[in-house]
Amino acid sequence: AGATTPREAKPSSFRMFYERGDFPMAIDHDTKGNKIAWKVPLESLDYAHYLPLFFDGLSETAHPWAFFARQGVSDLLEHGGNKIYPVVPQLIIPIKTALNTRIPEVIIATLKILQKLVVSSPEVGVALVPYYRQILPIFNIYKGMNLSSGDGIDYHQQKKENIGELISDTLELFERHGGDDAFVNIKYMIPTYESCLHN
Amino acid sequence: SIADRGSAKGMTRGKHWTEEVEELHRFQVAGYRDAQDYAEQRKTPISQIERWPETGRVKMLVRPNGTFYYYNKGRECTDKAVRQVKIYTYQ
Repeated sequence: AGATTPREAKPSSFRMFYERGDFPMAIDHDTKGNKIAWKVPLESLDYAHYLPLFFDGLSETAHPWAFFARQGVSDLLEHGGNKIYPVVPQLIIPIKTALNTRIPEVIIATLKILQKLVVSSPEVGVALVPYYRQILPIFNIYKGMNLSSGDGIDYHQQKKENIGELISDTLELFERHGGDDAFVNIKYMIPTYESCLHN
Repeated sequence: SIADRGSAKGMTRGKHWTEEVEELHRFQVAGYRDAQDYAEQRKTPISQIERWPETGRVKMLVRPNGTFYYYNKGRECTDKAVRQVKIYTYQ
């Protein structure tokens, strides 16, 4: 009954900060790939300040905000190491907001980011466990969303854009990196989840 | 340096993905020909280029305009980009 209907997303504060030029990124028009030209080395960036702001932009679907938010988060996670773990609590609300838009494109981007986040450093997976209550309910809605195409081809699989599959991959990563309490906590929120570690 | 090795005698494009193509791709996206060109233009030794410890792939490059490009641990050069990679030959 409309559980998966996209909701109107409010313009994120990422958009405001981006327009104001708060982010140390150069808008560059000669770029070949999809890269962000950072004006400062990422090691010198204040993660506690910037990481939540970039996560806030995950709910965007319009260019250029969507691209800069997703690529920015991805760069920060890939190079953040142990600077990410202390910021985890501040990332939960933006993640929840993004998932709650129920816009497939946003959910796919957010799931891919969650997969990156949970493996970014060993402590992050455990730090996420207390927040399963916030982020897993949406997983529950979409968990079974797998295209039944018979012998046809679902091209979303090739592009890794199949929501049902992304969710089960993400949950497996949560369990693998979440420590001893991960499985029971996932099972509590998503009763149909089966462990990938225990039989 | 580029001066030492003389001007390039020829250029071919990448045919299929290899570590070498990946390496060149990373430099060429940032606006350099290869590691040697980077070292010469940035006036830093090749050994100082930041690389991923696990794979030895390039991690960060300073572009000619002073901005920073960060690269992932995994493969970044897509099949489409492989054909744009320029492989120069010297004598």
